[in-house]
Amino acid sequence: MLSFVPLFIVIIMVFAITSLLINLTKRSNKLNFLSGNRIRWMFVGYISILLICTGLSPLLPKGELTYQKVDVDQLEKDNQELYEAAIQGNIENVDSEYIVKTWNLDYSEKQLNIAVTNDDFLSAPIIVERKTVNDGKIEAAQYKKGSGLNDMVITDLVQPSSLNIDKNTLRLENPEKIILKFSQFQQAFPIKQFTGKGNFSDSNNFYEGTGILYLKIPKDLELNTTSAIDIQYVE
Amino acid sequence: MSLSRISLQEVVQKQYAYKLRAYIQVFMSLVFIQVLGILFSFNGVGMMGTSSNTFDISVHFYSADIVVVFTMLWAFISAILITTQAYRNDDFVFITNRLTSNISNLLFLLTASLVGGLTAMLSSHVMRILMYVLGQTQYLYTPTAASEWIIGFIATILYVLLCSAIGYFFGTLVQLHKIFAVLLPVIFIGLLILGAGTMNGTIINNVIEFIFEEASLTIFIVKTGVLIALLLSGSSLMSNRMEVR
Repeated sequence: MLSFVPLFIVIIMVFAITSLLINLTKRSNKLNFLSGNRIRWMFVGYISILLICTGLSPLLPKGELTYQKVDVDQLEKDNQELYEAAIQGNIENVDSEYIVKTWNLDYSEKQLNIAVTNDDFLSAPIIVERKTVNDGKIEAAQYKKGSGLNDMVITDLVQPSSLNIDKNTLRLENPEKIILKFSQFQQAFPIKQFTGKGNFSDSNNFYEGTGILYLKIPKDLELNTTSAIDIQYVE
Repeated sequence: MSLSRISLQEVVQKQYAYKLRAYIQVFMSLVFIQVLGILFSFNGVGMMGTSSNTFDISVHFYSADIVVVFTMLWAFISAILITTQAYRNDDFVFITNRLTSNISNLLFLLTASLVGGLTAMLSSHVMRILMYVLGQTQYLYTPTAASEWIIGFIATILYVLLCSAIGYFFGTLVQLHKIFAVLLPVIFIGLLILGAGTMNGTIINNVIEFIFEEASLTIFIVKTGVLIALLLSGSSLMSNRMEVR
């Protein structure tokens, strides 16, 4: 009930202002600055401002600030597809546009430790494919698909993880956190109510596609990891 | 006995024209209230924040919601005010009876609701432009189709009209007997509390659901249309029982 107090104050304020203005001008017609003509001009002025703004508003640049639209279910499906393709060894079929970054690392030892900097939790699962030969090379690729916020695709904003070999350890690091601040202009509730977008309550969604980190390692290389790191081998 | 016979339509027309001019301050208060609503809207009507390993996102929402709600309140209070004694007596300058007085009042309320509803929806453009000029953050916009604008206009006008009909009804009740001036707020607050905590929710909740959560525009038009007709004809019937002055 206490949360209603500011609301009540605002409502009472609106009531007070409305009744005051109406009664003030009604009773004292001699009040010069609020004479009938002035009011008419004020009103006409307000209407013209509204109309001018209505005309100008579609001209505002949308440009790079307009994001591609997408359905959350689609994002989820995309990610599932990517994961399945990778785990089944069909990564070649995944379009190369989803590759965020690739690395080619030389490594000819028998064992490799995998660690994440600062003991962070790596958001992307690591999928490992053993090559048929021992060529002493580790090929890594980070794939990213489908992140969305309120039906906008924000996948492109995702930065690549960092990855390097330090002695016997493959060090992974989460990408730098992206801080996004948006101001979203919504339709007023009388529109949302009838267009199936829900009224009053904001129907928001955020889906982060984790993507995958795909490693191709030499045939006999042994990987050592901690339990915190999610490694899966291609079936 | 009078030599000239005037038709109902003529009288109503004259009174309506007079009211549009005499009640101009109603429209001025509309301007004030909507500007106030636009100012309040700068704080945003909602906010969402989310965070993950890679993202730290905050979204502030802006919309004309506050302006629409303020306009509804404005319609309610304006309708009450034009039922008060000072305004009612204005009508007796003209040849009048309760019927013409009511019809011209209703026409005036209809006009005011049309103006209020249209300006409330258009105010979102002003907000958008001001936000574009003053905005600091990335700015997202969901384009609104022409058909959605029409839906918005119709719905907003009906909301505003419904509020003014409620106001007119309450105002007439109070004119009928002063006790209603105390009784109505008491009933309202009582209804807010009555049924709270039960599974069915309060009566107010049910009323809000009945109107504000109707997803079909056609049914919404019927519902509000019937309510408005009931309220307005109710007030007309009541005012017929009033003394002449």
